[in-house]
Amino acid sequence: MSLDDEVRKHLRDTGEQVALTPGIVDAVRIRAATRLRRRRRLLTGVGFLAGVALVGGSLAVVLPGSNENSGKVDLVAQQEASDETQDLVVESSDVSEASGNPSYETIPATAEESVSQSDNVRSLSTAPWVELEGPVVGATTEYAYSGDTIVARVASEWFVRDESSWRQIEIPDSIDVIAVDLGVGEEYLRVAGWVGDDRCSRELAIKVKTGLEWQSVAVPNQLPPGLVSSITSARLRVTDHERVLSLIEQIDVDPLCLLQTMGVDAVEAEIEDGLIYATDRKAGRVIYSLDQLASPEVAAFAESGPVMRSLLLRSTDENKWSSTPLTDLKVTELGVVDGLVMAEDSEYTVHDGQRLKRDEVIPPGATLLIDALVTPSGTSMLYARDGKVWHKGNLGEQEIKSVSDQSVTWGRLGRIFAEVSIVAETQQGQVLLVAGG
Amino acid sequence: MTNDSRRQDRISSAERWSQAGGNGDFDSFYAENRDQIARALSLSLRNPDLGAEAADEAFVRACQRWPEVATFANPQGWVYRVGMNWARSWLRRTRREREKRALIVKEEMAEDPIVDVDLERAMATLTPGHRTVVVARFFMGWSIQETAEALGLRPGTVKSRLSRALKQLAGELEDSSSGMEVPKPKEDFDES
Repeated sequence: MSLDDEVRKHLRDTGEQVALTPGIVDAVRIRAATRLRRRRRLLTGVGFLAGVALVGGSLAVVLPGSNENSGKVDLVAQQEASDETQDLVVESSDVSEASGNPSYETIPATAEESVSQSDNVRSLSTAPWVELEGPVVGATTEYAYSGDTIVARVASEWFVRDESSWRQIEIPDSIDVIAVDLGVGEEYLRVAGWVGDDRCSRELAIKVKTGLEWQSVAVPNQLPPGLVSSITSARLRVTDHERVLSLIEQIDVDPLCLLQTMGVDAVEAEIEDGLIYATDRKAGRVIYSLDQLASPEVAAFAESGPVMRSLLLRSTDENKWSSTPLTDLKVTELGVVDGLVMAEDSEYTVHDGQRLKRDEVIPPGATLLIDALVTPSGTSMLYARDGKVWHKGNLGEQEIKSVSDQSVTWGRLGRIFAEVSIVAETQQGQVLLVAGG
Repeated sequence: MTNDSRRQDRISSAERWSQAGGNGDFDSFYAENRDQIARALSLSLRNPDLGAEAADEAFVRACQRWPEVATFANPQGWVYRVGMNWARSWLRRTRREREKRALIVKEEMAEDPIVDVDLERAMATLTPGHRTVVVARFFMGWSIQETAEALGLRPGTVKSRLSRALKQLAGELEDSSSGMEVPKPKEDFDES
């Protein structure tokens, strides 16, 4: 073997032995998008500063006697530009000046702000809807309407839609968030999520931000020892009187957690034919009987496999929670109507300030009203007909498809500021559609 | 897989990314190349953790400029070079701390019995610049021209570095078989 071949073989052998953690493309995209946004903001700040300096300079020439005023303009400009250049995460933390108590808005907003479609949009085959890019281009994104805007989740990062761009929401590291409630704005941000790193002992909690302070309320675990929950989707609403969480979760037996509750510190374990095969840190390989360790309910889970379920959790008192199983395996949307948190069901659609009976608003010929939203300019409806999803509003009726012409299977209407938009479910995931005009 | 077939695969991949364009293709590029480039960087830097970190950093930069990077003849080469440059900068920045802690070189790669220990020791004596060229040529399977483009060197420089590196490796292997003391590994990445 020549030296070339020897080196080649050696490098291949050595290279193969390098232990690599799995690469996650979404994590790469998040890092890239965050840097891009930071750079854009920096450039915006610098551009703004330059622009104001130019205007200030011109004013100084035109109005030579107004030095005092132009100095003030520069000062303000510098302050604003400086604010613009702050890190994204830091940006949303300036809440110390927030005043007054939060109150829920239960009437659809009539704000005149509109979603800018100047950037990040792709034309749809079914104009007038256009697809808005998510906060991390190309990454799998889940959307949820919240207050008068929409939040997007990419992996463990959360973003909120401003008038024309996405901005990362500042959330404490201590919580792995599953749902965000922006119903009364970011200064009173409310989040639900997991607290703690250990899958066996982590707790579901709701955290409420007031000013700079976060207050936490634990949601009691209602599962018997050994069963663990993985929440795939959730909605949260918190009012002054109530906390409501709707979620879809997968319940499964975790043999390590089961052993942990029995005081066994195993490093790995698996269940097979009613037995738990475990590797104990001290005793080595050990076999336990599932029937002896687990309750009948847990043993039944182990036999039947994981179960998906939908749940509504409510509390008007920190220590008292009610749990209602739901039949639908789609996440149940929540809205605040007349000060009360209401959950959508097969009979009614719910948005903030409105609860509509599906049968009463469904268009003729439609088989199912998926969603309806009343706005000051009319009613927007999303419904199924001929196996397709359609939208009907001010601009007439259109079949809803994604930009890549994927069929839409489900959807949700909502407002981003005052504009109606659609979160459409396709086989490839969710897309956000806004009116293209 | 031979170098030729590997090269052919790579060329067709680059054409595919370039022709398809768009951001979605970054996912395919990442999936197909991330591990290979992370391994190449680990070998060049002789530090798996730093190699993986450098690869991640380079892929983030590739993602930011993907529409442009996708049109390059050898996007992998660009990522490899960006990763090496980032690692070199990092090593320069942290040199003082590392000198205190003396942690840069990990010998864990040489501990496995299936690896040729003599050759691994000989590889460790190469300068970082020479090792980078050797890894690009023999691990990534790039031609002299591709290696030159990827590393921003002249083809003549690549040839001479390769030639000197192989000569040095042959000498080291000869010395180790005759029982001579193996020189200390080169650890200084400040060299360009």
